[in-house]
Amino acid sequence: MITGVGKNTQGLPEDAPRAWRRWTRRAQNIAAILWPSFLAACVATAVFFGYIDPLDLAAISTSFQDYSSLAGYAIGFFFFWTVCSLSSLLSVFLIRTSRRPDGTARDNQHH
Amino acid sequence: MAQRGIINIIEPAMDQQNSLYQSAEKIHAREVDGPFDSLRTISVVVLLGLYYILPWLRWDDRQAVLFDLPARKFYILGLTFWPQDFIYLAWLLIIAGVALFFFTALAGRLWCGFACPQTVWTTAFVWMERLTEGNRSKRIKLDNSPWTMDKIRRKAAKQVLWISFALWTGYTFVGYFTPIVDLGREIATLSLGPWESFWVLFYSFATYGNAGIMREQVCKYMCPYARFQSSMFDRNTLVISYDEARGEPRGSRSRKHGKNSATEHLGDCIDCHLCVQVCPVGIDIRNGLQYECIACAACIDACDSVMDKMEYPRGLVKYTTENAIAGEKSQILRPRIFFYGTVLLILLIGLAGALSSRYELRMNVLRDRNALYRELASGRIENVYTLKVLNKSDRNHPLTLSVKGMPDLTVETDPQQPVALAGELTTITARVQATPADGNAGGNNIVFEVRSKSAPDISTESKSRFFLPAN
Repeated sequence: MITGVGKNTQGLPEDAPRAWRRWTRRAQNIAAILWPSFLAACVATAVFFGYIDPLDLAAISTSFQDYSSLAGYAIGFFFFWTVCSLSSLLSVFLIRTSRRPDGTARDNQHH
Repeated sequence: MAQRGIINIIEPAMDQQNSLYQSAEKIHAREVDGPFDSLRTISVVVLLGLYYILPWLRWDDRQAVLFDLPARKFYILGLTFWPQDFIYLAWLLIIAGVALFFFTALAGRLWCGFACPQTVWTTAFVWMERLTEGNRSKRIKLDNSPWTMDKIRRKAAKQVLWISFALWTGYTFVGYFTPIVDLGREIATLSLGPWESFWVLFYSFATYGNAGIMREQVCKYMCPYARFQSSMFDRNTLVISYDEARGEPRGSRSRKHGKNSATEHLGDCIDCHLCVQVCPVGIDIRNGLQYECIACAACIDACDSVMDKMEYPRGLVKYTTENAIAGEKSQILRPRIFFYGTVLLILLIGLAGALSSRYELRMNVLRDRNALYRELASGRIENVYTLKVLNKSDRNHPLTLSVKGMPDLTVETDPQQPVALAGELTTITARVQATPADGNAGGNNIVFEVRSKSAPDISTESKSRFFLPAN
């Protein structure tokens, strides 16, 4: 049977589903890094390749001459996703390691 | 519950926030019947039906909806979109955003409960889960039981259904970008290209993970809309609410007794917890509006069925406004709705107008980079241009080319009788000649015009410069 978190704080009976199913902090971090960057990468890919044909890029590059346009789109998408993920990673890192306004550290309360 | 003025969306209680390292437990949502559930079923069938059927439809001799990335052309029914039409996509996204504001201000998270792909695919996955593992109590029992043959059989059947469905979803997704019949043939003959294979698996995996495994966690932890919805809400927004005044104090009672002396101190809530058990995100709507709520209205269906059994009036949990609950007048048609509605309407009319009057022909003029000008034996000066003529329509246009801006300009083209082929970018070389005395030394503004011979009302212009030598 499913037991509630925080000792049944909402006065639910024992057979109630857990009202606040949660992700771990790590899972939240990963989601906060990968998901917004995925959305941003989609926008960047659409705008960038809306104006630029990957075959034109391949033609003027030195190491991607033989790449198909599908490969070009995929490489572009994953490039944008990686770069955006790095940005999200830094944002999450800065937020998670900052002190609260009252001076206590953010992440040490659960150990 | 709610403050005056703005709507109050309840944050998780403090002790719950402290349990962040608790591992996730599975929510077993109870099945429910009712008008809202039927509405969702219809919505899921229609939306998934569109998704899976659209790529199979034909238009003339091509796929009706095809985003042909290698050719950089998007076909949607009779329309062909080019990269130059990117503005329409941006416009469409703006319309989608304003529509989200409009519907959220009107009736809360309608999108989440009935139209969001996350909900639609999760609903389909839950159906498959129910088919193989049974109803809620059976599923709970199954999950808590040791691994028996029956459990292995049921879990395996579910995985087979889920994975097949996810793979078919991935195949369909790639079928929007690569002609789906060819794609099917390549899969059947195991000759699928590496990138197509990758994207089929990528999208299948995303579908499986989002709709099978993560489900409501996506809404809770990954969806930005859930977090800023409150800025679109006001006290006149239709939201799912528990009528606290009528329901409290809650308490169980026998149906036979109904309201009698023993229960007359109780409100109408019989505390049966059905509203909690049917909730796909695992909240208790009786605690007030919470940001986890995706407004699926399963709790309304559940509570109404209980109210019917108890022979109490329906609507203990219902779509209503904060104002109505507080006993004030709710005003559905309010300035905010009119404002969003008007903006939405203007954008839609604009898009329809722009689409119906799309240029069939577009032209770019590029000057020859090698030489500014060339002196001919006759003493006239020649400039060479490359014309890129884009024909967005599905008919060929034989062209006449004219150049204006200087007196006595003549033009020769290669090919001599240029034709802008249907749906193609045609390159034409144009040699333009002028007498040096007719213009300034240096650059002179000229205008190229191409006009269709078959449909003379269709033409397009493009500016360029004509260079003459000094002296």
